[in-house]
Amino acid sequence: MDIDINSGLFSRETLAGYDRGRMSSAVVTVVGLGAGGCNVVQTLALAGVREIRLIDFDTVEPSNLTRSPLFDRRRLAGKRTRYKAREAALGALACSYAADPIVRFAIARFEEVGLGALVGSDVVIAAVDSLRIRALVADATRLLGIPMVELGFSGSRGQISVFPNTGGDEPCWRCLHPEVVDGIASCTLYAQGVVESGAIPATQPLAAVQGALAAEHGIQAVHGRFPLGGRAFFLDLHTGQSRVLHLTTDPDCPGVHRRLVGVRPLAVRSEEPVRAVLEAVREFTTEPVMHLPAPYVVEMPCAACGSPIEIGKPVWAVTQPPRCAKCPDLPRLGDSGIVVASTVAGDDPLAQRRCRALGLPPAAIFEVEDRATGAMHVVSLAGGLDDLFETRRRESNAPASLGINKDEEHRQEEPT
Amino acid sequence: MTTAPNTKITAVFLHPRDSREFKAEVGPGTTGKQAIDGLVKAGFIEAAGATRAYALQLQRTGASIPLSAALVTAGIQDGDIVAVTETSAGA
Repeated sequence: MDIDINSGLFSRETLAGYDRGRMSSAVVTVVGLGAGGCNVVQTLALAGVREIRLIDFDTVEPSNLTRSPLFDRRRLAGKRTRYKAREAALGALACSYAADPIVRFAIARFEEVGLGALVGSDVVIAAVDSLRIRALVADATRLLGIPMVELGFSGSRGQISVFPNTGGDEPCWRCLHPEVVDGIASCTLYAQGVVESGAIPATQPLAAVQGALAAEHGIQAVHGRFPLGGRAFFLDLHTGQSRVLHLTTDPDCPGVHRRLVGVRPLAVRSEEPVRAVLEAVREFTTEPVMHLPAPYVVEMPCAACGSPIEIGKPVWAVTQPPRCAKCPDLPRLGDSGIVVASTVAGDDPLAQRRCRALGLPPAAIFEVEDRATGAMHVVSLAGGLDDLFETRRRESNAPASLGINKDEEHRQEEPT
Repeated sequence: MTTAPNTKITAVFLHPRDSREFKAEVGPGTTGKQAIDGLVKAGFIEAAGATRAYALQLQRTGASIPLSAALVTAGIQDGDIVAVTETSAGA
């Protein structure tokens, strides 16, 4: 029997309250494409979300495959390095039932693509395996006024929480977790850490359940509905026990409880020096000082001998303790002696550095303070989604743009 | 009935993963963070870290308790049950 997929394709979803008009223009960003993110994206694609943006820097490991339904095992054969964001994007495009699906992916850290990558999203789903990055996604979505759905799991237990981000007095993710500990650099390291701690990593059944929950609440957010808004839902898949936590705003929350409004687009590109930004904003400021989205590490001590070493990277790009050429074997680094810059003024030597080097990608959104008046102005660099994401549509296997991705070996990609 | 702010109270903490309970005295200035640290020190829960974070929920209302707030100020009364919830970093 032939199936006419245009006949009654979304009849069930329509009965369930999914508006086709809304879904056919929906934009959902998923940060983190491990087991949770992959399951989220699969459901979003099947449900007909038109545009899905994916952000993850990590590579595919064998243990991911049994929990990542979007990864095509035929493509993963061989020794070529494969990236989760890319594999998930191609899988999403293959299974999407949207009329004109668009998938965009960035093989990059969340901090690397910046706030500009989220602009235009109806909802952001944080499926990252780092609590620190969840905190960053929470702050970013709050600044932009974009709803956020967060999920995480371990063993047989998982949680999702929903943040409408419609007002500053709403509780945010950081109201619940004001102090987060870092230390996880990738899914692979996270999984190793879980195993070493004696816990059991999550399996596909839990990833599927949690992914479905997060996708459903993402779709609800697309419709402006937040049935789980301001709450966290905890579920144990084995015992069936669940708990709903009503989130309370913490008056001492270190997170962001404000929204960036009135973004002024600048013609300055991320490859230009910071001084170009400071010159451009002279139009509406007298004594401009640029506030960097993340601290810029100027100098750090050698982990072994303590001698100062010039770093010159945003803090998120410093993934290993530095060491002198003279000190090959090193103990763990402490924090003392780290020199960072959080602001750049016109007379600062850092103003000669390229915006990108200071952690400002294309379309970056950040604040400039006018020291003469104390006023803060929100500005954005030139650039758009094509500068950040590789974009694929169903009609074409060739990338429309390469975005921020650095996987050179994939730029001559075979058709899928 | 409300609890005088300078009075010690007793609260029962529920384990995030099973039915274990931990009864403890809570001082007037004890914050949520201090309570969690105490539960870790007592061996009731494992230390938070890169793979997990904890929060507290007042069972009676279902609301979370800001970790910076004193439990008594946050509305916990003598005999209240406080659930410890665990947020997993895995995804």
